[in-house]
Amino acid sequence: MSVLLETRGLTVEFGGLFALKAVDLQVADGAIHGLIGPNGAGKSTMVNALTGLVPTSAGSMQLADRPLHGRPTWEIADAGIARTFQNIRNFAGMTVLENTLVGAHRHFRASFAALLRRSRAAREEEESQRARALEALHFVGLRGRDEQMATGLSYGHQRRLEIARALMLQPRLLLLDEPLAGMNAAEKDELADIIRAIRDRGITVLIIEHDMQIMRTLCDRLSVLHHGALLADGTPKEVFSNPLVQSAYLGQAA
Amino acid sequence: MDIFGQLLVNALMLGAIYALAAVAYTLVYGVIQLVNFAFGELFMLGAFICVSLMLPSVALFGWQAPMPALPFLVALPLAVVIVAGLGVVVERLAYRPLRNAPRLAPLIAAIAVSVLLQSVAQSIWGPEELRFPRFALGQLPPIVLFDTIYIRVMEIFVLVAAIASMIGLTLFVQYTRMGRAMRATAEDPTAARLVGIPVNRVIAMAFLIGSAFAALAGVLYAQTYSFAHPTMGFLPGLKALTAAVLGGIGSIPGAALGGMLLAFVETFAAGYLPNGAAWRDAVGFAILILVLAFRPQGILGRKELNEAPAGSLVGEQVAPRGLFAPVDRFFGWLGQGNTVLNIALACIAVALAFIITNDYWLRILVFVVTYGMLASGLNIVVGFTGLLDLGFVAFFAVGAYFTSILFVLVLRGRFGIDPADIWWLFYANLFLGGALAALIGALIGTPTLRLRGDYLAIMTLGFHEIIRIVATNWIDLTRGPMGIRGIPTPSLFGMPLMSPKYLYLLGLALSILVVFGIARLVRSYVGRAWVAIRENEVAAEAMGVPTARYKLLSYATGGFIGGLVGVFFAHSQQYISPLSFSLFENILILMLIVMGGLGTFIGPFLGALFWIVFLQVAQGMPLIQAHPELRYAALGLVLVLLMIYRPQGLAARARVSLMMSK
Amino acid sequence: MNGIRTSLAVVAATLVCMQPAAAQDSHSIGFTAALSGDFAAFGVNMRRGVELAMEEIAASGGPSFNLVIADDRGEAREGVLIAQRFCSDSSVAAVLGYSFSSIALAAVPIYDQCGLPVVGSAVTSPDLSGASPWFRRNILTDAVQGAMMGEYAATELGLSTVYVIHQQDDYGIGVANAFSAAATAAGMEVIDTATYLLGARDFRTQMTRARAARPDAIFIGGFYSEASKIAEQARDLGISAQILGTDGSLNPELITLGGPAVEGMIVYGMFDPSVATPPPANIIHANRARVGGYPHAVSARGYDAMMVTAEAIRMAEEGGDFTRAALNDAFGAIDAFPGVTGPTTFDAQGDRDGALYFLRVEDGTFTLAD
Repeated sequence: MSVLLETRGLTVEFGGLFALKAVDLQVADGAIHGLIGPNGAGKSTMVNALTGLVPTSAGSMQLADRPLHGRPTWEIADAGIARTFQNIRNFAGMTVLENTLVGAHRHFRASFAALLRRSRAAREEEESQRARALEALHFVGLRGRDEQMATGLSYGHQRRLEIARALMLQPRLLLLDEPLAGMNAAEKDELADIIRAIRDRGITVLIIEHDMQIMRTLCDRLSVLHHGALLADGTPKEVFSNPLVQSAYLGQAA
Repeated sequence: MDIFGQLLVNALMLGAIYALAAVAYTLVYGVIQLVNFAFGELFMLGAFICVSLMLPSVALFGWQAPMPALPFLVALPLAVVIVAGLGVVVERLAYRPLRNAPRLAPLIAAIAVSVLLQSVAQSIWGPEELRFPRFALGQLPPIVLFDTIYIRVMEIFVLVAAIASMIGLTLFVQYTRMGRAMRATAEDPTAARLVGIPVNRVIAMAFLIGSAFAALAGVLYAQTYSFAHPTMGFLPGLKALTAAVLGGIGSIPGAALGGMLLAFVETFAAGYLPNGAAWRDAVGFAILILVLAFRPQGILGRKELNEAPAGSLVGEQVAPRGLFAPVDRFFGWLGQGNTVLNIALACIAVALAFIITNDYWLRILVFVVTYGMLASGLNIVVGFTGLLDLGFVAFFAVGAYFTSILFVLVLRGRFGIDPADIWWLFYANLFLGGALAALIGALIGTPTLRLRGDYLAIMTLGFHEIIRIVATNWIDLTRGPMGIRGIPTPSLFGMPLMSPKYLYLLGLALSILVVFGIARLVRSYVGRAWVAIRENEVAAEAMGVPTARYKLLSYATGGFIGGLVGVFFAHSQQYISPLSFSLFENILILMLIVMGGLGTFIGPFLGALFWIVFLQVAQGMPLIQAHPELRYAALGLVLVLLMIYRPQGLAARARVSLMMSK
Repeated sequence: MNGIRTSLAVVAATLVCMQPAAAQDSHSIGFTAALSGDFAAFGVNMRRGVELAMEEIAASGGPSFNLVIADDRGEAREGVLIAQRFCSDSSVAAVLGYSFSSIALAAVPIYDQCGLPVVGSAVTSPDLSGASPWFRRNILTDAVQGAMMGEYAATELGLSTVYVIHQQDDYGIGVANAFSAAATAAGMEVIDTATYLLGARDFRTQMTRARAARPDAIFIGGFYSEASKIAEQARDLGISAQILGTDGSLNPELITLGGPAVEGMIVYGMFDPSVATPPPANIIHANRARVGGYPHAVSARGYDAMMVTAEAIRMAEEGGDFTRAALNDAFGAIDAFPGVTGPTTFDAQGDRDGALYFLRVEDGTFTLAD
């Protein structure tokens, strides 16, 4: 399988402290790739660095051979990396459908003049994206809730909304930052199924999660971060049997 | 060279006063991220109270009241203590109820309090200046250095007082429990509450100290320029705020540095530029813009404070209940974008032109639609995109001056063209004036839109001040304060639309066009991108929205409408002068949309209707006939109440759908 | 939620009470000026003069007038609405007041349209000359006044260099230009000209520059509040030059605010508040009784404006049907009507001629300068 995302020596430094130390990460096209590590290992920093929200001090990253380091966040999104946030960041003053459509921003082409005239092309574009959005909401299990305000959704549904919104980008890579946090077992299983279905649609998934039970079965590959550095990399089986990984987690538990 | 030394002394004096007042803004901003505009008025009250205490008797409400005639060194601390207490009371009554309200509500409440205090001060002390009493320390002969530098003893006192209180405050914040609690609250209010810091007391303390500093600055200012006046606090307040932002708001040393820097820039610009004194304020703001362009968090500010403040700008959706219920139900219905309802509303608005026969009420409606349109433009920037803009009137001025200069000074003045022959140019100018304002908006926006939240607000305020000062001082271009008169009234195929009725109908037609245009943009991916930026800029960017570009677009679109309304305004008034574009207009327009409902289509017009009708009806009240200054006091009071009971605005329920209707 | 209910009840009750005063048989006189905000002092004093005149007319058995007050707050927007308000109120026979030329200029098109006579008492912009057949003023325009001061300074006072500082508005620019032109023509040298924005309080920089230029005189084209600060800050910086002012500074407040610093300052104006040039005794007496102290120059003009208006109304009523147009004609026919600021006649441009006095501050009062 070909490599979709590749980082080389990715480093993030905050005033002398290294949040990420020369991380070389490879995510294969079409995989569900897990990123694990104890608290403070730099997982969220990794996602933020990949999406340009945190400036990197060294290293490079590329998506399918397209270099993206140092690019602004929106351009990285436009190049095909979508994400969700650890602390949910839906748009509070908007309905579920409107939220979802923001994810489709890059597919809109209509000019100001076309919008003011409400040209046929503008209407068709809006209509086709609306249809896609309804489909995405259906896909994540939010059918029939499109007119509701986003803030009115339950916690679990808000997470799903974030995923639907990210899917609207038609990304090549989807970054999920602790999508299962705060959910019960049944909800987690449902969401895991959705994640698999996303992968089956040809979208590569990079997921951060603490629930090892789920990660073991969900992920094709796992990378372990520890103190900002890549500690191990491999199939779930390889990783969990790695003594370095075990001591890292035990070290944290102790 | 013989003015350099004296300028240095002058700058130090002014800087000390700016710095003290800047501390007030910085302290409260640091703790609750509120720009407390009322500090300008507490500054003024400090001066008045101190002066009153020093006199044997003073006219209060027109009656001579006996006063203790205290010496300066007793009256000063007493005035500071009284004003500090007053600051805490204001916080308790007007701001604390708004702790969890939408972000703009406390700001508007602060402006309302400021208007209220100013009006009340005029009622108490009268409109005339009160001379600062003479006292022993102030009468000592000046110290003369090198024959050219005159230093009064009181100037040394001002400097020493400023330095001593700065050091005292720094020690307080560093070493006392309360000071540490204040710092902790500034860092993270939620965490502070969790670890048991009494946040309300900390905030009250910030207001106490802030008000004391404002009062001290006020007394020293009044002493230096030997007067007290109800409106004396406005400009120094603004300067202090600018100084606080320049130094990095939230930082005490930053306030000191910002105050000194601003004073030095102003003084030396005034001293060395040709006719510099007239341009000094513009130079001060230009420096501010320059510094912020390179260092968005201010000189000593922390980067985090340049983040968008937490909390929604618009606030939670309100459920209809209580007295507002019928209003809410109506606007909830309106907000759904029902075409029939909209057409019915437009028909009623048109019908008003024929039902109302009184020219006065029709003229009121002309202003309602003018300001409603203007506020609609600002609403794009503030209400939809969530960018706090305090300089919107600059666009309005650009449009108005563009068309006036073209018609009156160039076409008629230079080429002798009769405006009646080119009546159609007015309609073209609506577009061209808008486009020019949009272009200027884009130019100004490019460096400034990197800033967030209140920094942006101060920057836009500076931009407006520069435009206004140019309009006042560049007499060859704008005729300066004399204004431009004889601007042709709008006409249609040679029929002048001069009467209030026709102007209203024309304004209404433009309003419908403007709202229609805004609606079409807002109900599309563009509007969704704007609202996404307002609600969560980071998430919007991560969803592929080029936020910088869309902010600029929002700014320019708002500017277009501002320019367009400016053209209409100039022709409907037939006369413009810098007076129509004062600083207060910016605040007024912002109030209109907050009152009416941010991010709604009807809100700006509703706010304009409420504001203008209230002021006009109040004009006729017997109490206002006797005491005209109480009109604004009443307005301030109503605004504070409105913000407390309805911080989301009157038409809060008229939320706008962001979907293109099928 | 009781709080909301109470507050709304209060607002509702207030609205009910806000019915405008009902029209009466007697004529209403509209009065508008900035009565609150930054520059309220002028308006408040002008109003006092108008009220004193009304009281005096009523006391001497004349008609009683109903005064309708409207505060424009120094905002053009309000000015336009107020003009329309007076126009639409048919009981209003004439309008007095106006603190700002800009606001009067913004209102003129409206008065023009509805035909309502106006007498301004504190607006001096040359643009107002002939701006409308309905607009008049009983204050002299800048141009004449400034020129007379320029000549006086050069010839009578024998000063040879002057530093000019003026407020950056129609008034300040008008007097300063006229002064400088006349002074230069009479052989004086204008060393430098500085400006300031209305409401400025810090003139140290300008005065520091002025000191470096060592002029014989400093000419201040501005109002008393700024002029008193300029004088005081000049003296603090050790400047001993002769200070010259304008009618904007002819005001007892100049002395209250400026104290010893304005001692010796020379100003000009039409009204002499302390020396009994023709009959200001009435107003001085009335003002003393009411508020104490000498009246403002602007009070005196407000007083005269009301007196002239009463006379014009009498003339118009004598002529038969009283209309605003008839009243406007009557204003035009006013011929040398005596007042505390001298006789009033309006020319075709709506301007007024009058005698100027030069006054010097001596021992804390204005005395005629020779």
